[in-house]
Amino acid sequence: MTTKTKLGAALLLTMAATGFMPQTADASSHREAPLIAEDAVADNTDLWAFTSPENNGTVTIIAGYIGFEDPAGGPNWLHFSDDVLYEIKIDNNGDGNANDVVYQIRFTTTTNNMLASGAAGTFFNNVGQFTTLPTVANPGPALRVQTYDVTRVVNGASTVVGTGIPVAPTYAGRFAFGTGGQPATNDSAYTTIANMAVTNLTGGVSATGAGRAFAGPRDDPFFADLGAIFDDATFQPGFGSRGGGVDTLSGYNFHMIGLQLPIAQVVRDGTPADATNVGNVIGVYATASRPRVTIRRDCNSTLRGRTRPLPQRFTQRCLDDHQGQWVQVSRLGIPLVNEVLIPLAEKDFWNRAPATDDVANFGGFLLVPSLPTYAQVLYGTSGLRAPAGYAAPARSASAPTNDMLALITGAPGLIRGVPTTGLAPADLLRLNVRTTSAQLPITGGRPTLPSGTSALGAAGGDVNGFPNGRRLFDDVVDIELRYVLNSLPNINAIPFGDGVDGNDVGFTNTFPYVAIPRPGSESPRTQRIEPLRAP
Amino acid sequence: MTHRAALLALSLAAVLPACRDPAPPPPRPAAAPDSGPAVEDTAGALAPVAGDQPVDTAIRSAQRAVRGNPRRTRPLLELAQAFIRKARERSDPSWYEQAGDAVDRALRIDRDDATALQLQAHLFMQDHRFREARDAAQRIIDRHPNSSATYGVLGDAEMEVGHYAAAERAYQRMNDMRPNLASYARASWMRWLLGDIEGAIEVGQRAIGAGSPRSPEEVAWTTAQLGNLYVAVDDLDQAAQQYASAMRLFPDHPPAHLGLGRVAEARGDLAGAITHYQAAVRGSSITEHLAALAEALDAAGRAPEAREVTAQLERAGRRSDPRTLSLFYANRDIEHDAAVALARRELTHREDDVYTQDALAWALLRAGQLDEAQAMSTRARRLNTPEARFLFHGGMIALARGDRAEARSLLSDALQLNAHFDRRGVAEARRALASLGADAGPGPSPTPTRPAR
Repeated sequence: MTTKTKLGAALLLTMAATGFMPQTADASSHREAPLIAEDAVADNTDLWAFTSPENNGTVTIIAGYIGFEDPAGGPNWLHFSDDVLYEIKIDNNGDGNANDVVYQIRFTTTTNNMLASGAAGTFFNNVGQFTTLPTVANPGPALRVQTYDVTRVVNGASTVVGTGIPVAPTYAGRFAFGTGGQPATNDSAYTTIANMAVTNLTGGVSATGAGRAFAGPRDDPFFADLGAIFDDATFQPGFGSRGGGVDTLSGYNFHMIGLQLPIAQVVRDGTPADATNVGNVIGVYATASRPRVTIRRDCNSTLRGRTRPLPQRFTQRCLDDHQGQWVQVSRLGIPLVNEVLIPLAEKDFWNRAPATDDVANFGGFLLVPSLPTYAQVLYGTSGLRAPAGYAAPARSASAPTNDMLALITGAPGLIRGVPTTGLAPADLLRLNVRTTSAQLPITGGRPTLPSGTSALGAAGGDVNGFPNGRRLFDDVVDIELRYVLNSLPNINAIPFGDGVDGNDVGFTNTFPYVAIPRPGSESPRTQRIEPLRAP
Repeated sequence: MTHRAALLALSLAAVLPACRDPAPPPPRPAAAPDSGPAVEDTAGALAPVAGDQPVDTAIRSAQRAVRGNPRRTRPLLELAQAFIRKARERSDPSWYEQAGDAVDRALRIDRDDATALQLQAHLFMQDHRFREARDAAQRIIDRHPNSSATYGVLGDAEMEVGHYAAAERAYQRMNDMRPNLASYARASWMRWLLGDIEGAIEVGQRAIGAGSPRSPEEVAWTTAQLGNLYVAVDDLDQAAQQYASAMRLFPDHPPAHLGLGRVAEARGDLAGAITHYQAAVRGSSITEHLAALAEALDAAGRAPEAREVTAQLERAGRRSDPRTLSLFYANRDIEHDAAVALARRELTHREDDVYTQDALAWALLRAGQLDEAQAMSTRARRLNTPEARFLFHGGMIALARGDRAEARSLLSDALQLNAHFDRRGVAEARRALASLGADAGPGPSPTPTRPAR
């Protein structure tokens, strides 16, 4: 008996031991279905909500899905799924239940039958060069065209506000957007074509219209040093905005659904324009849901397409199994709450639970984060790493002055219009729709912002930023690290930070604001390192 | 959960098909300085791994993270899942050993870690320790009732031992908690077992649609499974499309080669079938692949090769897949005692599993034990699973017992369901129906016979 098998036999005696036994090494007469499957296309990555800089009187909501898209993703580029219900949900009466105004987005993919039939069976993105936005009527060189419908649901009543809106195309590469058989020399052709996908919504109940929408791939505007944050729990040496961090997301794309909505479309009818009125504070979150399947169904198995009928013993009466039911598989309101506060064993429950029940379901996790305890081991008086002297704030789930509660009740005192007692607790991104908008930085790296505007939002003395909504340049990682580790009243006691203070590429100040995706010829091989500097 | 959550945990550039939580467990109060081991640990899960596939990069990144975080479970679980992916992609179960080591290390840090326990149960399944997997899953549910994958493992364990009501309950919970490729694929298999062919295919398609191109092996596997359902109902065109799609997603995926072989054989292309079966064996030398190849080589008159593969098949079957070997013997009407013994042995692990009961029924018929064969076949067909060979075996048993009407019904239904279910079986069924004076239905497409010498 080899040492391995002796060990295997010994391990069998211990219930806890996994002890894989080589003798059954090629046993495969059991089914080995994948157990934990990635579901990228139904995965919320980020949510932003802010007042639009170029379109006063509107709010912009951007829901990100499908993270870490490699631009050179061919032949299997990621797309929105036709089988997923994407929703942006808004609470406009402060009760934490974000079903007051809901935008539902469903996608449909059509195959381009005008191309040579041989191409249709391939995985190419396109055959030829684009001169305009591909649509179902005019797909051009695209093998597949994806469009979407938008339905607006107000207190249960549905109105379709957009039909067959084209999705911006994949940026397969500069050749696809060149002319005359040559690759393009810059991104302007793609930019022009992709921005054609910005489409007005219809069916507006007011003179200001129903808003407009954009969906498609873009550069992922989130910026963070994911490795430094938790890899060995060393936040950047010396902390704070000193640079030196690696933007783990630089060079990657994502998919966004963006809505720019007149204020009248999101607040309750009759809400006055006064910024101090609580009716101007909305709560937003974005979700993705998949069809619920009932395994056992009453079914007539006719098996369409099979010429000979099935034996009668296999035919049964049938109901559609899905029956219009959905299961929410992802949701996101306030950035990083899921990642930082919710334990892995609770993720599935978190993802399908409605925000309105967050305190009942997850109160302990939300109100007493474990991160500070860990940080104390590292940075406390007897800490393992310099600088020492960090003390985790004392928090109790039952204390009415628990500062984490402020995060989920609309940050009273920081967001205008929120009463001192706060709004109903829920993981919703709260935004005062009358907030002064900010110009976005148009170059990458650490943003240069006008006086009074800070990427640290409230922590930087700028109440127009996070947690009052979330602007594309708000450094939510630094803000939340300081909030969780220092507590809200002492938010800048130790200037924790990940050393990445801005997105690698700039924005535009026109909806949809986010930079175009990186082309397929560029795969992120090195990530941007933010230059070191004085804090 | 968010993909962002997975990647916030660790500094991994590669994408991994799992969800992870970066929130670390509460540290032990009397924490010793984090000096790390004096000598680098390169045993088990931390042994160096070569290779340049994304999964190899993922393994090495996870190993680095483990070394940097010796008291955290998350990097170890990341590592375990990477090894599981490696085992699947290479069709090499020996990688499960490293996965097991990573899981054991995680459990030594935190014996209550839900993901570690889930993975442990999953690895028990790979090892055919079905009861332990089931018990482990049940214990997880007692403490962590909110994770869908636990119900997946529980359902898998119940399924393999034939507790189908319990499996269905577990799989339904899994689907209600989190629909995705993993849950839809299980719903598809469950529907199949329950005889809902259309429903199995429909949710199988949904499973494929929920797959991620970043996990191509998972999608290829699920696609090939759907191909297998089409083969079982004799829809060869659809089956071929699915296998071709699986091959595009993950070149030389062994289940796709097996499926393409079956399609080729049913269409009369024995040489093509053999090529595919050989590729399947090269990728994964499991008993099922060897059996398909042995039968095809035999049908093609390539006797010496057939003998060699048969010898391999017998060794592999006795070691790890007695059911397939039992069927092989019984199909040829040889080795009666061995066929019965092999199937019985498997049934001790499989309790109430219909596939094993069917194999035992067939072996018992060949050995002349009609009453037990009848009882076992009835049990095997209790769910109305649309497997032609279940009907064929039941029909032959009925014939041997003199129940001509039942024999006629089962045998003709077998051929009507799948006129290509098995070369020898189809021939035997047709002969039996002829002897009953029954119409066997339209014949299968011609298959080549052994060339004359």
